[in-house]
Order: sequence, then C-alpha cells, then structure tokens
Amino acid sequence: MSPDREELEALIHRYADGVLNLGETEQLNRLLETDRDAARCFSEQSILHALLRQKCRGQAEAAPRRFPWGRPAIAAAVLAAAGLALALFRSGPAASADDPSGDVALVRQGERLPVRPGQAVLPGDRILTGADGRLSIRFRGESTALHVPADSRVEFDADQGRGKRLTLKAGRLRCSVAPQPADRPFTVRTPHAETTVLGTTFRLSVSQGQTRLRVGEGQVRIAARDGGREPLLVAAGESATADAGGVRAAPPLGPWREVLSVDFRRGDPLPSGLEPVFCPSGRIDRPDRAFEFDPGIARLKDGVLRLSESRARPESMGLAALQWKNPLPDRVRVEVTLPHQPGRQLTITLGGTPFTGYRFNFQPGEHYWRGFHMDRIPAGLHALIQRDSRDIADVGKSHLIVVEKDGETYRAWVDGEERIEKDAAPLPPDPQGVALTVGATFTPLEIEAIRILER
Amino acid sequence: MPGCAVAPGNRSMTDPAVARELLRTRESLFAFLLALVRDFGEAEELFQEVSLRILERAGDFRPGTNFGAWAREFARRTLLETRRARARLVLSEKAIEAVASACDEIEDSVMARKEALHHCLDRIEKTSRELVEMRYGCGLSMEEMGRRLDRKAGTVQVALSRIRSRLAECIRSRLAGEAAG
Repeated sequence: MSPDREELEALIHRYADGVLNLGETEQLNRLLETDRDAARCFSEQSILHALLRQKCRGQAEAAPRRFPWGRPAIAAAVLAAAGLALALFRSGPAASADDPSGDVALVRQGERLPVRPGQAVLPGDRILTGADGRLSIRFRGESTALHVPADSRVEFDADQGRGKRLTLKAGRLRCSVAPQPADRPFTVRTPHAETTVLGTTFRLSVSQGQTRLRVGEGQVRIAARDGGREPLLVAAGESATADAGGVRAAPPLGPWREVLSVDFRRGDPLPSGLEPVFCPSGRIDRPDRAFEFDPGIARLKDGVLRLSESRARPESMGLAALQWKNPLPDRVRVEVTLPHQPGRQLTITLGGTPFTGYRFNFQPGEHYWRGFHMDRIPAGLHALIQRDSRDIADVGKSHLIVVEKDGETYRAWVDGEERIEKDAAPLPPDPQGVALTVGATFTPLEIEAIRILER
Repeated sequence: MPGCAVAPGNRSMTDPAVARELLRTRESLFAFLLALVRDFGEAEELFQEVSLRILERAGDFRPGTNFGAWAREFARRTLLETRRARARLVLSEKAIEAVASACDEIEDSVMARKEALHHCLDRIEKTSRELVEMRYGCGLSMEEMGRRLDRKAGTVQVALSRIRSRLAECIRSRLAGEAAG
C-alpha cells in the first residue's frame, strides 16, 4: 500500500537527512520507480532542500569560498569557462593536475578556470590555491611531482625548452624531482632566488620578503635573483634563506626537547600543568566570554582521558580544554594521540585559548568541518585561515595529530601527512598567560596521549 | 529539409547562450545533484564540475529541446563517473530516471517556489527557523544538532521533518493561490 503524503514526505526527509534504514531505502526506491506522484513529491522536496541550503548558506557569516551561485565571482567564472574547450586544444600537455581539492584555479590566457582531476597544465599557465585549496601536478613520463598547498601561486614559464621552469610567486611548493638531463635542469624561481636541481626533493616558501628553502634529499643550488654572492649548494637536511640582502645558509636547528609527556593508556594521571577549563556554547559569542576552571570536564577511564561537557552545566555543550600556562617557545610542537572518533572535533590552540590563539581543528567523519582546518574565533566572528577538507581515513589504530609553530610558520600533520602550512602574524599575549590548549569543540572527545616539545 | 539538420557535436548554440541557460536552471540542477548525493559540499563540488562539462560541450545542446533535462542527464553521467559521488548513491538507476523526469515537470515553478519559500520562512517560529539554519546554514548532521541541543538525533530529525512539511504545504498553498489569482 502506498503511504499517504505525510508519510511519504517523512520518508523523503529521512532519506535527505541520511537516516534511512535498509528497508526504508528499498521502499523509497520502489515508490520512485513505480509511482509518478511519489517521484514528483520527491522532486518538490529536493527543490525545497536545495532552496533552503541556498537561502541559509547565503546568510551564514562563515560562508565557504566555494559556492555554486549568488556570488558574482563564481558566476563570472562559470561564464568565463565558456572558452575552456578551445583553450584545451592547444599544444600537448607537459603536466596534469592531480587530486585537486578546495579552492583551486588555473589561469590560462587571462581566464580563470577551476581545475579538474587530470586537467592539462600547459606552459604559461598559472595555478592559484585559496585558503582551502591544494593540488599536485605530475609531469608526463616521469615521477616528478609538485605539491601546491593552500594560499600559493605558481606560474609555469611559457618557454619550457631549456628544462622545466616555473616561478613560485607566493606561498609554498613541495617538489619531488626525478633525475633531469644535465642540460635541462628543473628550475624554480621566487622573487628573491633561483633554485636549480637535477633530481631531489625540497620545499620552498615565499613570504614576508623572504624565500626559504629546505632540502629533503639530494642537493639544490640556490642563487640570488640579482646575481650577488656565489650560489649556495644546500644539501639534504639543510636550509637556506634568500631575500633582498642575498642568499645565506640557515643555522641548523637543534633537536626537539620534550617538556611534557603524558600517556593515559599507561595510567598516567592528568598533569598539574594541564588545567581543565570550560566555556558553555551560550557564552562563546558574548563579550564576557571566558574559560573557567572546571575539573568535571576531564575524566580518566579505561586508559583514555575523556573530555566532555561540563557536569556543572548539563544544559549546554561548549568548549572543553586543557590549558598550559608556561611561556610559549618560538618553536613548539604539540602531539596528540587519540582514537578514531567520527564527528568529534579535537581543537589544539597555539598562542592562547580558543578565543585568543590560533585554533587547529581535526574532525574525522562525514561532517561539514571534516578534515583539518586552522582558524580563529575572535568575538562574534569565525575567521577561517586554511582548510584541508580531505577525509580522515580510519587507520584502524590511533591517530597522531601534530601541530607545530616555527617562528611565524604553523604546520599540522595527521598521521604523518601534512594538512596545514601557513605563515600567520604574531598574536597579542593571552591575558591569562595561556600558551596552548588541547580540547574538544562542542563534542565529547577521548584522548590517549599528549606531548609538548620545544627547541 | 536536407542541409538544415544540425549534426550532433556541431556548435548549434553559442557558449554564452548555454551559460545563460545554465544560470537560469541552476537551482533545479543543484537540487537534482543534492537529491542524489545528499551531502551539501559534495553536491556543490559536483555542480561546478557539471557546469564546466556542460560549457565544454555546449555545442551538443540542440536549441528548442529541454535544456534542464539535457543538463540533468549530464549531471547523472558525471555523477556515475565520480567514484566518491557514486559511492553515496542509494537510489537505483530506475529511481534516478524517474526523479529526473519528475524534475522536468516542476522546473518552471522553481523561481515561484523560491519566492514562496521566502515568505513561508518568515511565518515559522524562531526555534524552527534556528533548527533550519543549523541544518542548512551550518550543514550540521542530525547527530551534531542533537548534541548541541541536548536532544536525541531522532527527535531532531522528526522536528525538522515536520518543519519542512509545513514549509512545503505553505509553498503549495501560495502557488495554488497564485494560480487561482
């Protein structure tokens, strides 16, 4: 028997909300296949679903940069893309885009085009990534690959006749370069330097009037763009910088020194230096928002530390955190080990509390903020800084989340894979002297171990 | 009439004209994609992917035929080629065809529905509006909403379902009123 309209709509809503069980899925398919009125009702509800998304998302303060309508830039990009087909039939591709995600654009002959997997990257093309964008570029017939993270701009020279040549105008670039012919080296220029390699791995970054080079394998030759001093040969594990004053080798960094290590799996208690605090969600946007000491949010049980909503205020969710008040070193690393918990959000902050510092948020599962993102939440605002929305795979064992501050450069890794790299301005000191926090945002969270290191 | 037929693949409609058609039918195309994959972010990415493919193949569209139906067929094929999106599909091929066909029937009413929704949203109570904004503005799942509201996910889903049914009824009433007026 067919359901009445009310039952049918309820079934369609359960489908749209992702909560249909197997039997209901079969029922819905059967109805759609055999009952034209049901298919029409489904279509009407789908339109409602889409219009609600369009209307509500358009009003949200923290709207994503990638959105299909209502934004002149996107509409213009769609219209501009009308010339795409013609442009693709130019000379054969030297390289192609691989695994693009987020806000990524390719500029060809002045036209800004979104990037699809496998899309040809041609001499003269420019690649731009936004705060949540990234992609890899692979060269044909060899294993050379470039990884362009967020907030970067890379330009391929129009003339590739003397080897692969490109320019990193801003942001970062990681290069894994297969052996190249001696007379056709791989060359990356920046505003301050020119690096030349015949086969190696290295990373370059351009920011604040300076180019930084770190070499992973092999050797890289780096020279000032304006000639100047003799070029430097930078070997594996070494770094160099280049700016208006020329090129110089960077002093080697010492090893990391552990300043705190706690492993709840082996029965360690919560160290006194990590103070449990809580702010209910209702206060987060208020001018008098603050974290208050609340030992009830952190409970040790079965080899994990469970952070949860305040027991003193069971009516509300909020931000639960362990805060560390020692002075923040210039180079600091926080490592958190935790089980796979879809939908739960780990938030690590550096330079203060979630209200005063930079937040690094990790969330597995199919949720809006899935993946990893760096942001700030100054009063009344949400300021997204960089995002990597790639899924977090359930690796079948604990996740290791690492967040690192190196001067003004912040990086984050999930299970050894880099997710965030961003230069960010220094922040005013936290008024309460909080250097960093490890906590949960709006959800309970289980943590297995925490390490803090400095150098 | 020999010589007048437009061969498939020839440029029978200019790119700007197809782009205009695409912008005109964007809501219904996005609704179709969202109905199939259900994830807002996934649907938004697919929408852009499909839009670009449509623009690349603008010459395949034959003026005078149903652009919306042509675009939805493009969308369906694109979706089936995208492994991640395909993995989200729970509707059968036959069900998707039926939905695409039903979309054709209501495509012309989308703008009227949009205006009606604007009016109807103003008529629901503040708490219902907040629930709608959590779901559609923030993109929260039922579980996340439940946690924030300290309610069971199932309770939240039923409440949201009732709100959408009220909105749908309000839209139907306004459309019927306009038709009668």
